Amino acid sequence: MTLENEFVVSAGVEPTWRLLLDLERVARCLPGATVEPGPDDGHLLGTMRVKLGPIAMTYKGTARLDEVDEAARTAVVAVEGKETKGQGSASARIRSTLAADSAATRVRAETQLSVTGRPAQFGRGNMQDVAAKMMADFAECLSRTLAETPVDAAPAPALDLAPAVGGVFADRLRSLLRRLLGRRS
Amino acid sequence: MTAAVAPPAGRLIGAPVARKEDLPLLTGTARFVGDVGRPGMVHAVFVRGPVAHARVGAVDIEAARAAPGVVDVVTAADLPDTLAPIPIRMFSRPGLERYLQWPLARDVVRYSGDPVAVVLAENRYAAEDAAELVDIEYEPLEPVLRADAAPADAQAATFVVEHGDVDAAFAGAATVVRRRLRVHRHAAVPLEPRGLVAELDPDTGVLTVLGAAKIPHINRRILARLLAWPEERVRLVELHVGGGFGARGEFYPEDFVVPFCAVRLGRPVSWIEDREENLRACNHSREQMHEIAIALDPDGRFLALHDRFFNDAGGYVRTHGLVVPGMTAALLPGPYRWQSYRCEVRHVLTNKTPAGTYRAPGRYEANFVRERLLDVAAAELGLDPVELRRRNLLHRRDFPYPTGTNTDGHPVVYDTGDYPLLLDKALERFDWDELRRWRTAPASAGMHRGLGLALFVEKSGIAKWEYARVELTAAGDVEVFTGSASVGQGLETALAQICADALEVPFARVTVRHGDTATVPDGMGAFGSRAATLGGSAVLIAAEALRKRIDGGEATPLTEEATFESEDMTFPYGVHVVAVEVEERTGRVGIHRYGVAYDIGRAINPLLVEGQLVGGVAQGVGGALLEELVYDDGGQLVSASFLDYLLPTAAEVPPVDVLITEDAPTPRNPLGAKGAGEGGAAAAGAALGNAVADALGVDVERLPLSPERVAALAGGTA
Repeated sequence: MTLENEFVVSAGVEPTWRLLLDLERVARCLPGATVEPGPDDGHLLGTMRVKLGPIAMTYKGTARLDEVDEAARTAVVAVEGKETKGQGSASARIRSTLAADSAATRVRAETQLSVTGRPAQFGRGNMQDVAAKMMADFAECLSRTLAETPVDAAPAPALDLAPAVGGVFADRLRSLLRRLLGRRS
Repeated sequence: MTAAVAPPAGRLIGAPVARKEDLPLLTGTARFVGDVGRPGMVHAVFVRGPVAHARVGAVDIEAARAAPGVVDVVTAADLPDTLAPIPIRMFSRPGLERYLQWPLARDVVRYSGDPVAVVLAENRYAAEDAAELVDIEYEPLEPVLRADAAPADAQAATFVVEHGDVDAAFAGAATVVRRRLRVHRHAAVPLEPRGLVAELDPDTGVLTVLGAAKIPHINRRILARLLAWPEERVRLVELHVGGGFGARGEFYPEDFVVPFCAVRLGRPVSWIEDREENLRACNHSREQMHEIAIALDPDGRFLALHDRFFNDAGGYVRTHGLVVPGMTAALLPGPYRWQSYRCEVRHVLTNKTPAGTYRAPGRYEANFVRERLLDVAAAELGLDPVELRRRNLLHRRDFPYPTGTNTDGHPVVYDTGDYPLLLDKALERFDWDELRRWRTAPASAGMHRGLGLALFVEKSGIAKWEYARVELTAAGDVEVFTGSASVGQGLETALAQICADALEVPFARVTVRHGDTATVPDGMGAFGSRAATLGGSAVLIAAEALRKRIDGGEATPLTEEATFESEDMTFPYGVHVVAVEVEERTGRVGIHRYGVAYDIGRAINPLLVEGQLVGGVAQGVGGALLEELVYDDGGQLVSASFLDYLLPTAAEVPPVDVLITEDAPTPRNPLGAKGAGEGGAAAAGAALGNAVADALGVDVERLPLSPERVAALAGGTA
């Protein structure tokens, strides 16, 4: 599935771009992730915990900068993980492109996400909505991190997506109510 | 229809006798395989490949083996070297053997859900936990997800069924209509998922497998062959079965692995499928893509039908071989006269769950594409859809009628029928003229009304023969042993009616026994609407022979056996009528009226027939409007729970008006009966497709007519 996010960082393109290439800081923004440097340069090892309603998964895997296009100010981060228990896996390619927006920087992130195993089978609509929510959180964290100096070295808290799932349901309920009420009026 | 208390013997056939099966079900004494426990029984959980297509790399089972409560972990490496893949039991063809499934995947997994290992533990919880510790490396391969865009080596079989000069007919036609039409992947989804308990008796050496369904004797033969054991050492036993519908009871990988593990461990082994497994591992069905065209003369007479279709077989060719596409090609002509016909079939492997039969297999699809195209043709010609069909129906004088098609090489010859008569009766019974007025009467804002009609010919009594034995005890009780199987259809009731009438004994004194290979020497089982016609005829013949001996003054106990054989199938036929109201904004298809008329020659028990038809409509409506097995771009099944796989509920299934007629009994069995199991489902997709197209004034080119798709059709964005 493909997810698209866009956000604005209150910093110039150049510092934003340099920060974006600091993979360790970027990877820390993945919800529920803990990272450590890998054996070779630019290759991180890490785990990521995800709770999806009644299902909890821990993925173990890698993150790396897969493409860097200096001229186009576009970078692709590739994340791959395998469930530590169970047969499933998840992989994502996050393509971020920067553009100047007055004194600030607009970041467009396009994510190709593929998931196998239990979470893929658990609720088509929910999987998509929760992934979208995760990406929104990731984008927000990136925006915050990029705007902040110095770097906050603390790992991101393991994310419990139960509230996210609840939020998704609440959003759906609200929009349903709006439609129902809209019809009356 | 109200159930009757059993009338006196001699008048049971044709009466709506209450089901013998209901007492154990309603009092909770019926035993299902999940109820079975044995001392020392271990619980099996399968480890299934998570990806659509991959090479299997290193398999590490050490952590799982060491987990608490684990008794054994079995992979393909542990299976006997002499093992063969699971064979095709019908509609085979040279070349298909290359596509068979092994009980556990060896080098490659071919769909998400392909079993790779099995964990056996003291309880289900330990087995589930340990299954997560099995570590398997997968090297991904490119998945094939569309049968109509598959590489050449994915084409497991291609064949053509034809008669007459189709090309000349199209060249000389006044009107040609053609469409690309698709039926989506959905499945039987029996209420009770599959399950098995296997145990080896160390004293007799007999392996008993509880939880058989549909075809116990055929599966015993397959299991014995795969184990390289004599059949006498394998016993299959059917318990109560919570629905089969063609999918449950076929020989699957688990049907070998579970008994094999029971032998390996010397302990009883239980495996109970959960719902997610059922949706990923049990046969899917129905996914076909058609390019279909018809040629007509200026009066709307049918000159030719030309169809090319892809049948999506999924990851492997399973036991059904080419049954589904074969049935589509055989019965696509329907109740009409075609001067020429050509059907080009491609049976294509993809990386999805293997597909097999589901109630009215191949015909649900065929009826949708043919009847949909007939409505398109009627609109093109400015003819009433009823009139176009009527002009082309076969007449009573045409029978027996060879269609020019065949099933597995055997010619299809319709036995009997009066199609125009049934059409007239159906339109009258379901108030067609009144429905037409309703359709044009003003509806609420944003609501669209439409009518759908579909005619079809079904087939029943496939696979030639069935066995029966009737025993009269010294006490005057009667026991009927049948080779057929009970899948909830009312087998015991129907066979007891036939037997009680023939012997003139009270219905209550007849007991029907089935599904145990130890007490019934052989049998074919319950599929293709065959239990009443073939199984019932065998019982009738055995009971009549017994009756002669009773009348001759022979002393009890007495036993008679019979095998009834019929080379040709019988062909019931029917009409579905549906009136819908479509809500533009939500895409909801509300069913205002649903009627099914079905001529089955002779109804042994109209109550059972009505139940079959109503149940079939419920499944047909679910398939047409809601149920869909959806795969993502990577080949993950993303509708593998009831959160996303939408079964119809009481809210969606309408009251169904059923008209059963007996105008065309078959000469092909002594009862005159044709099977009733599949007519309720067979044309539901066709009728609803036509009704929604009529309501919205649009082309409906694929199913399901889910709310989002209908809303898109209504809004012109489909």
